Amino acid sequence: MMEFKRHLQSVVLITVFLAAFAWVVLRPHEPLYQGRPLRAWLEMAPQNGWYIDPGSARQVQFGNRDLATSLLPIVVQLAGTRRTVPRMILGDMARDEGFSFLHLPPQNGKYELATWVCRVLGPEARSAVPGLVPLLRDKDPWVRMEAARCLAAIGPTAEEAVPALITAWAQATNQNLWVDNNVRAFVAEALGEMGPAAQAALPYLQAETNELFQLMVLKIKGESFAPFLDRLKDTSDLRRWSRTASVVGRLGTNASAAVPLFLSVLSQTNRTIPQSNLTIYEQTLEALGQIHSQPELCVPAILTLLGSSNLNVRAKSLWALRGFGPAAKPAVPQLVRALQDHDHWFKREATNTLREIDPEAAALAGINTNQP
Amino acid sequence: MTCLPIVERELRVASRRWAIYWVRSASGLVAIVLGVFVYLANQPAPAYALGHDLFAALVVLCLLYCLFYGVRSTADCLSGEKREGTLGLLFLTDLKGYDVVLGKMAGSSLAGFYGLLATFPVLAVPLLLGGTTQGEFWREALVLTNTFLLSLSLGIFVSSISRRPRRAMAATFGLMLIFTGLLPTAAGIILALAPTHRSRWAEMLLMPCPFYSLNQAYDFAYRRGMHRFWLSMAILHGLTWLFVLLASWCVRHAWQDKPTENLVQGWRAVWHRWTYGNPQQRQALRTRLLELNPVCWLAGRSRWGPVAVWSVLGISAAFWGWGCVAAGNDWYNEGIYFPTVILLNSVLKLWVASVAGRQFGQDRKDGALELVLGTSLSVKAILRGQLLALARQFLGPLIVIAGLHGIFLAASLQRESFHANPLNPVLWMGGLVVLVSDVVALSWVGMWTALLAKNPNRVTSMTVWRLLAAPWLFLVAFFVVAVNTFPSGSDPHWEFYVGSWFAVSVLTDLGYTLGAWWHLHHDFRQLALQRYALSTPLFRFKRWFKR
Repeated sequence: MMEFKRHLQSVVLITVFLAAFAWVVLRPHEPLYQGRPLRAWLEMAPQNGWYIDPGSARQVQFGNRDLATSLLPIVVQLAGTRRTVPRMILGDMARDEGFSFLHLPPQNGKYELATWVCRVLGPEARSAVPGLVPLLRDKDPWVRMEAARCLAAIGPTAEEAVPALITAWAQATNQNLWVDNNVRAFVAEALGEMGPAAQAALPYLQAETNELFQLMVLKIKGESFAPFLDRLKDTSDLRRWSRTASVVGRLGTNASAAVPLFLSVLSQTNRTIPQSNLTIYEQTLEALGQIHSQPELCVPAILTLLGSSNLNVRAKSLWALRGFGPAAKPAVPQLVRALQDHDHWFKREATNTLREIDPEAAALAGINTNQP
Repeated sequence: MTCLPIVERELRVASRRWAIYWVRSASGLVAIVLGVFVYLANQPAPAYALGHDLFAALVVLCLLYCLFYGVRSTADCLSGEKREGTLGLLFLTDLKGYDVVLGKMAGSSLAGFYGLLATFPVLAVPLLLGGTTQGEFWREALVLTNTFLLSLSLGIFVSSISRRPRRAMAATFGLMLIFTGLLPTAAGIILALAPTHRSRWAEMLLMPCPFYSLNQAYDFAYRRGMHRFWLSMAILHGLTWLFVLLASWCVRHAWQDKPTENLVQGWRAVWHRWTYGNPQQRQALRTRLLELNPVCWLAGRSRWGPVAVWSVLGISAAFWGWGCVAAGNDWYNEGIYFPTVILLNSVLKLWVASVAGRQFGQDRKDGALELVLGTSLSVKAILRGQLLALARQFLGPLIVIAGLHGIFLAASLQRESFHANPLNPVLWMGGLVVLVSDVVALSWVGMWTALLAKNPNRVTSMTVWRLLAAPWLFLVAFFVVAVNTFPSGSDPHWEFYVGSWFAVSVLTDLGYTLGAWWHLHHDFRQLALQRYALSTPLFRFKRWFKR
């Protein structure tokens, strides 16, 4: 009888343990929407258009308001992903086709996804702010940067994050470390997006001579960017010009007035810029992609550099075209030709660009449009 | 006057052993076979690339041989003499500590050293292919010889301070791991944390690692800084002499039986009480198990056995819990499931292999098995008792691990992609069958091997070799041949690999289990008492054949 009792106890204990373990492994690990985990929806979203107008993107991707708001905890989770060595190894393995049977979670693009959702949802992502604020104090600088980027994407409705942003700025004091410099840059951008609500940050930003911080001061004060755009006319100091171009590009569509200046650089008529200085071209292309205004003028100008012998210039041209999204459709024939490029990496980038600009043309070119 | 008389005597004895001839022939043959497989696995490639890969692969394998030979041959040579009480007799004469240590080293390493020498001609083949230089060949040969000596000296040092065979083996292995694993890991951590990824300290930590010497012997590293190679060699060689000197000193002072100190005695009593329980608990367990089977009580008296297995499972569960919390949703994928199950399966199988034959092997050596056979217990009852003891220790954990297979199978079926590619469900089902068949086979073969093995300490390694290592080596060789014989462009699919693994594993288990079952049921008495049998050549042949 005792032996039977002992065996029964063991059977019950083992059964309970296995049942608990089965629950841990087999339960849905995140809320489902229409039978799919939310992360699956999220990962599909950018494939249908990273660069389309945020307003319409919201309609297309997050027509259901419940879906949009239920995504926010995942956004906070994505933004809070630390860049650890095991995660980087995991990410490399996840990209390797040989390990596809392990279904490893991709580690790349998590930050971009988080920012994208915040940008698309804009003020509607406000409920993510309480989750993002503690991330500004995270020990991983990449997490701090991403939190600032997400807050910048949410915009002025995230004003409750201003004190935390100022603290994050004040703590990134080592200007010799690029990490701290980057944290400060992202935090400054977020403060700039908050507008007048970030008045308390002005003393910190005004003490800096960096172009980006000066621009953010203008944004917070609500003053015109015109003096900044004027600086682009002065090409005597190329390094300074390059830094200004980089900052102006961050203004996005707000800097559409600078497009003719950038186009003049690409048209190679401005003899003051040495032809050999390819960094200028690269910077200009990047800024045009970020501004993505006046595609009828910009796309043909960018296309002239898509055939450059320099790989970096070719790549920057692709990324600039991606910035215009479907508005860059006139570039499709040349993009199809770019698929034959001898550089494997460039070919992959061209494939992704074509897929995003014109999925139908990509399908005709034999590209699988369902897989990134 | 003879210089180093024990060395001379041991070498004379060793040179007459049949193993001297077999080991060197076998080493040469194994090196040739491995070389052929490396050659086939790297086809098609230019001759110099083949030569380089062949050389690199053979050198690493030889280094592993050198590292493990010391553990195997010297770790128990002095401790064995201590247990048998023969070491003290040597010190009644004028012999010094170094006479005994060097003599034992020479005697126990001769076969292994000839085995190493036999691989050198095969190592030189890449010289003809053009993949390596003469300098590299001779430097690597020097590294291998140096490592072999270091491994021997480590083993003999640990043996000089040990008494129990398992502890001696484990300590030698641990000490070896410090040089080959711990120091390089520490160096790696320092390099990773250093802002410039360079550190003098890290380099110093790498110096006593044989793998570092091996790497520095290649031309690309040697030309960059030959001092690193020679410094590493000098440190390895210095360590060899240091361990020999330490062993020579220790062996003179550690062979006597000393009265146990009160503190140690106290700890032993606590350990004994914890392992077997207090008198009331022992009585209760005896009553309970004797009702089932007396051999079950004999083999399952220790409470530590089942507790240890459950503890390992508990620690694994705690680690899993930590992973779930730390990694969140990223934890739930086959990248975690497969390593979890592989690790648990390996631990369980190795544990079963080590326990299955331990009782019979020890009883046979102590003569206790004769006493058991002298009772009214039938062979069937003895075997049943041993199996019951194994089940008492491992059945619960086996069910839990099998249950994990089932849960992970269900998780793989949750994925939509399994319709298109059922690799994972097939792997889980196959893994479950192989786990159960391996555990059953290890139990039977472990008992059988314990009755055959000359040395009870080698029962586990022999069992593991037969059922776990040999099939995998065969599979790897089979895959290499198969991949090279398939027409190019039509590489075998996963069904081929998984099917081969499943078939080889299950057939090996089945064949060995049936053989062990048959011999245990029909030849148990003969096998158990064979140490008293006349050791005729015919009997030896029969025994070899049964092995």
